[in-house]
Amino acid sequence: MKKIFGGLLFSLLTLSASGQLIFVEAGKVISSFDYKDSNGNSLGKLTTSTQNNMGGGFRWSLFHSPWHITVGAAYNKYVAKGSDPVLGNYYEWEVAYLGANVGVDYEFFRPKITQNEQHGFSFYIRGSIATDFLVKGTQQLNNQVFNLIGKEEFNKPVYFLKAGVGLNYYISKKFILFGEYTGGQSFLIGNYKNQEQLRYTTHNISVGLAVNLIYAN
Amino acid sequence: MKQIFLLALSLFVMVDLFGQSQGISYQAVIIDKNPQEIPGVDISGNILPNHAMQVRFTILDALGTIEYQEEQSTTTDAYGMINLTIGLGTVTAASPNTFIEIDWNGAPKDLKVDISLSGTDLFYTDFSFQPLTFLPYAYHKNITATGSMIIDGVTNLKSRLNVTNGSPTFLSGRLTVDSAAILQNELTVNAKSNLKGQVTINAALAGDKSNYDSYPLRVEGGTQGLAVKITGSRSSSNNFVTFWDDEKIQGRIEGQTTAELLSDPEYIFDNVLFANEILRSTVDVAKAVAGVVSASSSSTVCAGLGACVTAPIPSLIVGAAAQLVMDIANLALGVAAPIIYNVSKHANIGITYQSGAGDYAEWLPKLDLTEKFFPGDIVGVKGGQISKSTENADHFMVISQKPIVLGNMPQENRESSYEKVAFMGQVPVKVIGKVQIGDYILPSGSNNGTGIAVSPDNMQPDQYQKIVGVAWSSSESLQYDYINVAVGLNANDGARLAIKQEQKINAQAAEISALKEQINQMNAVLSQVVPNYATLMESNQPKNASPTAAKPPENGVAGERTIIYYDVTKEQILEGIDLAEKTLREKGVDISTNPFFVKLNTEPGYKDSFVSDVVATIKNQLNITYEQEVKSGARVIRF
Repeated sequence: MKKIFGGLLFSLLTLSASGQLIFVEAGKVISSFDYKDSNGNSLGKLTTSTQNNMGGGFRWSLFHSPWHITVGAAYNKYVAKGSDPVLGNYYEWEVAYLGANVGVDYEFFRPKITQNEQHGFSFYIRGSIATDFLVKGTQQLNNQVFNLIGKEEFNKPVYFLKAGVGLNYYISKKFILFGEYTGGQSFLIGNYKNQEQLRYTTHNISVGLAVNLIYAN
Repeated sequence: MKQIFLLALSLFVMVDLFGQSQGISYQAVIIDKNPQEIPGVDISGNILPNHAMQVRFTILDALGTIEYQEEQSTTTDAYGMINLTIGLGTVTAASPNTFIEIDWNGAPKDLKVDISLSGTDLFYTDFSFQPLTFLPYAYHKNITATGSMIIDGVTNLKSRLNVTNGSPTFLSGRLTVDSAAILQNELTVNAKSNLKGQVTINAALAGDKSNYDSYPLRVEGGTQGLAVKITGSRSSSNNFVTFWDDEKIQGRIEGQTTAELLSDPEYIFDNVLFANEILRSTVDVAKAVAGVVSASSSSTVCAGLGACVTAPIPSLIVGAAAQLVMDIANLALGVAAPIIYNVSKHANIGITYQSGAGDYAEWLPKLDLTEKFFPGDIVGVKGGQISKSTENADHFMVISQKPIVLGNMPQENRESSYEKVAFMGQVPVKVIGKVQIGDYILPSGSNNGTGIAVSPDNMQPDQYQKIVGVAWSSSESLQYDYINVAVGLNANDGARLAIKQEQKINAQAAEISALKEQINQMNAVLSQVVPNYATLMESNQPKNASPTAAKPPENGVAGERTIIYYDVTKEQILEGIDLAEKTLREKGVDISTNPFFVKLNTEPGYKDSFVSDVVATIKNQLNITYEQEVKSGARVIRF
């Protein structure tokens, strides 16, 4: 994975600088935990929670084609709650991740530059991979709160596969306002020796502003 | 096995009584020792709800030997709890006893619990091991406790309670016994006892009457003895104490009311005696008044007037007045005595002692220790000693058969030297011959303990001192028979004799006076018809004749009797009072207790009133005598 990520980053840096954008975005992320213990028993239905997220990055257009490569970083916060009426337990997790992602998107109907300006809508689809690193996390168990830093399932990075769609509005040839939806599914998290299974499922809706660095000067 | 639950436990064992079942209640919460897997920190300490399991209970003795073991199948409830009763499970083959055969002997015992969480295969794991610190419930078993046992709650013992080894039992609170209580040994009560039911002392004691330990009921420890309080007021229907034997009531101490006192034969008898005494004293006073009248007069037979007149001697008048005062004092005493007696009797109405026995007796020593006496024997008392020989005896008494009161108890073991002699009351007496009720019983003179009956009309003066008693029953037997005789009631029989003799003397005196009058008349007639008769009579007069003696008339004619009366003065009565007091004191009489003299000397005005009454009485009597003398033709001179 490291090799793939390193090679992709190198290719981006060596590409033509034409079509480079920098963007920031913020939105809401709806997350849920999917857990099964070592006996295959799930925790039942854990409620989802909506949290804020923010991110930013670079976007390159590959040879002025509709293909783009996006590299970014994001701060995501995931929350899940649940209870066991038989045993009388209540539990809640609240975790915050700082992650990096790289993706490829294909833009449709990008407006052309006319009279040295560019206006109009386009939309795009995107596929990406991401890895998150826990920066803060707590677990509430009944009346007790535990720090999740260093705990088994949370002491390793989380890898996501994400896909989404977005809508660009070219305000000008320099500024692009965009909104997008991204759904993601993590790989299994943490210790897998005892066959415990934990996955995150995220639904992210965000809006952002991209600045075309070529025209910025 | 991956899914083995290793269980921590939360265990409760308690002993309980289940109505009709027997066993030890056991309750435990099954805790899942494996933590529940969740993301992050796993959950530990979860209960194990609704889980089928097997439980094996083992009771071990102090050495670890199995005394009892059983198995039970159960399922935890929604809270992970199991509720079982040790004793209701299936006894295992390793158990040497059934549950009810466990010997709770006070030695330490342990409870070991194993559980198997498999629903199919038995795989016991240790669950708990703890000492049985509770006193186990033992419905059918004895409990042996080597130490103290403290029970804070109410304890119901539904069977017998034995406190053995001579161990004392202390109760700091009230002891209530609803049923009969039987004490097999001595009972000591250190506080006041209230027995509200009938108390029967049935002590099978034997022994001599002089032995203190022979008596079932002994009252001691206080300065007072026995107090008997009945409910309501006293009467003859309320017996304070009743004496029974196997046959019947033999005596009682009963209440007495005023009405019962007035109907008491003894009370009536005593008042009759007092009435007789008053009558005798009244006679004495009348005689004393006559004596004063006599002393205040002088009678002289004179042949003529003047020369033979003599005056009464003043000292005789004072002496007669003194006698009158003493007789009045005696009468006052006689009147006061029954008053005091009745006041005392009425003031002391309370109880009477009743018994089939009828006399008061005392132990008197025998004159001859070898002499045998039997109840009813008449004995003579000489110097306080008794004998059947009644010759020269001081008193004549009877051997009592069964006295109600017996005094002068001799020293122990000396009863054979004494006999019970009746002093007062009714006692059977051996009497020979016919007996009428009211006859006096006298010693027969045979010195064999028998008596004879003599009618009061046939009594000789010398027989009065030999009176044993008065017959209250009769007999027609010519042999001896037991006669019910009242003894100790003859103190006034001598007075009756004196009155009788006095009456006889008075009759003789009257007869002498009549003879003297007749002789005087004959002398007068003879002086008229016989010459020198008066001279001869005078020459025959004794030379030392008293001044009051009759003298023949100097003129040879028979002189008429001249009587001179002096009225008795108050001064003479006062002198008589002083003389009476002096005389009584010289006789050793304490006049300070005599009601007459007490009243005379302490009550203002009484002495003057008394003296006036006496003078008036004497004057009245003198008037009567004066009239009689005048009618008899005597020459009467009154000053």
